[in-house]
Amino acid sequence: MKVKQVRRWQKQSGAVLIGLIIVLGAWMILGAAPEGTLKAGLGAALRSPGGPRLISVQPLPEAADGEMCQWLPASASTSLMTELQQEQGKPQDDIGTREPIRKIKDSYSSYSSVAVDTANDEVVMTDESLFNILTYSRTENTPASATMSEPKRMIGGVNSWVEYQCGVYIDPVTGDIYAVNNDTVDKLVIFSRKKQGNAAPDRIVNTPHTTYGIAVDEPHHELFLTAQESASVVVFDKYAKTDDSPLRLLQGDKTLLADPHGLAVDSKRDLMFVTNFGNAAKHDASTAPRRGGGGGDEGGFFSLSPKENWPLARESAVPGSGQFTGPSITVYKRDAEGDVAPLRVIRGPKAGLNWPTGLSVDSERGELYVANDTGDDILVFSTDAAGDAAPKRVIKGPKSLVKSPTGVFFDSKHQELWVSNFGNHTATVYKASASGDSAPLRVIRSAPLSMPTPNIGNAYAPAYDSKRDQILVPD
Amino acid sequence: MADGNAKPVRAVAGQKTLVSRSTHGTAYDDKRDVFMVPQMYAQAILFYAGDADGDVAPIRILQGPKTQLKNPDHLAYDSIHSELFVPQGGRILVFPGDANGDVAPLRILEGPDTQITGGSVGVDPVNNLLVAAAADRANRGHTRLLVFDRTASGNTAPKGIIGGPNSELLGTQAPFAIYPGKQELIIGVYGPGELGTEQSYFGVWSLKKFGDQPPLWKFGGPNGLIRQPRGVTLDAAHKSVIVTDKRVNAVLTWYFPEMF
Repeated sequence: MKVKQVRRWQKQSGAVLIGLIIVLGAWMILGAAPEGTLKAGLGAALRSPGGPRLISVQPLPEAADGEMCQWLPASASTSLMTELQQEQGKPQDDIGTREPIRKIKDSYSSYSSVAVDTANDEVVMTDESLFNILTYSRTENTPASATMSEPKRMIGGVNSWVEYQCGVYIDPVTGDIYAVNNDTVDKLVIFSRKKQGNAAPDRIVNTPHTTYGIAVDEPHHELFLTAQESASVVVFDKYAKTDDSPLRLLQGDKTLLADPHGLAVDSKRDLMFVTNFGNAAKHDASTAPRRGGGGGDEGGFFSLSPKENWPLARESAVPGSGQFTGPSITVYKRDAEGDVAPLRVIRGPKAGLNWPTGLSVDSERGELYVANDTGDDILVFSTDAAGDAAPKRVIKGPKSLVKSPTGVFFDSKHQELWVSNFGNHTATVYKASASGDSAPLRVIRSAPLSMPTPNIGNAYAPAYDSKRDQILVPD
Repeated sequence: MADGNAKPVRAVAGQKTLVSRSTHGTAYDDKRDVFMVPQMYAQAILFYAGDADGDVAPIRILQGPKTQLKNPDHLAYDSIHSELFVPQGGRILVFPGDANGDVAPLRILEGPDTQITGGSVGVDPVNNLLVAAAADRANRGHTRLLVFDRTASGNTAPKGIIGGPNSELLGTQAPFAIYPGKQELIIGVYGPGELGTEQSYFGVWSLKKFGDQPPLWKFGGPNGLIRQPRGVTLDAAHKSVIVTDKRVNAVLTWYFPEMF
């Protein structure tokens, strides 16, 4: 109910009350009231002077704004009271202790990436709304009548260094969890399988800023990460320690890396696949400010890193060199390094790429799965696709439940495809050959059915659109 | 009046928009009904129609060698004088509000005398002030607010500085807002801790005086809801302040008639 409707009720109720008093008075005076009631008293008052007399009846004053006790139905929300306060312009408390009147926030987990622990029959997902790593049974399927599925284990809290996470890898032997933080924490955090709660990672590897996708080549014990800002791929030893330098760096104009996101390694074919949003600039160390030379924060990501194989980032961007190159999937030899061209590029209108994010490869079939975020679909390409190639299959449609997919994982043991849908609080599972508007085999939900999501992920400087009374939120 | 798990009424996202993840700023031009965002990775400023929705292309793109854009991450807009301010580390680039294509800045504020180091800037078009947040090298972990004339250019020293131990301006990287009506500046203040802390808050400082002055007000903390403030904007018509917090991962609105 809005504020204006509340005031109308107040006036109406006042009028009703007055009417009732009049009727009651008439009832008593005209003799309809039973003996022993007020009528008797009124009658006595009217009989003769010397006794109590009813002199007059005054109607109650009409309620003035703010002067009558606030009426609120039992279901009134705090926001209604706050609206009343706003209208009256009377803050009820000191600003120092005042609570916000509105808080736009997703109160439920939003799955940003997914990976299966085939050894232990579990599935692990990162949650970019509440900053958790969630583990479920692989065969979990949230009943339609249930609010959500409860995870078997959950890692989160400041000790865990888990924040805006966008990629996850599970060690197929140990079940160790490798979880990638994006642009707010420059650390890859690694937990043993059974870790839970606000627990410190078992290992931390300091990474370049804005890491996104992760893949591991087990035969060579190498860990691959994409870094958006520097348009690079860095490769660490899988067991790297905190401040180790990468083993290799792939960066430069010839690489065609442009705001890279997802990453997959095909160990069988010895290839690396990268999805790119298509935003790029040149980098040159000569444009970076000297340490102590001002022009930005000391250290951090405003100056050059002394580490070997560390990518050049914003401090080294060549002013005015930026360009939009369009979305693509670039394919390299697994051990590509330096400024080398890709072996192949998938790009063009037929490819249908629209913020291509997560990647996973089926080495046996030679298929590449792409979580196509703003396309609201999953694209399946041949691993030897090139140029303006159409996907072999597309999973899309209302029955599929694919909505803003950001993570994808192919489970080769069970021949199932997993999708983490950032747009609807679900993770969905399909058979490997799924196509079209295929209903998932199973669904894991973190929220009630059809619960909307604000889609907020690291909301930054907002702006107020005064014409539409809307808040513009970049994230 | 969106609240809780509200779905956005509009979302500008997708390949045609040319934005990417990690967009850290936006500003609204109420005269042209246009909003704009920085695109760091492609070194561009993207302008959209005020009612843009979905996977739509920008109506204007500011990009190219003449722009000198290096890593645009934040911005501020002056609707009255139609000027766009883009902080770039130790420099502030000022562009015409209708800039399109490879356009050079109208003026650049840079040089050692400016003392500019940070990436946040705000403009007061009524009182003709330009404010930049900068690291306070004398008090590590603290911030100073450098106040210039709005049209300052070249190696110009600030006309005044707000900062010092009593100012309680701890480290802040966040974009801020200015209310010209009372010459007040609202900025989020970070307490220590990379993942946020209860010591964080939003504070309001007066731009009418300089020096080591404490905030007029604090809200959201310390020991409140705020953990790691990001940005702030004002809804003067409803006497409200709208802020974002990284660690809380939320957009919060405070009713704050006292400052309006």
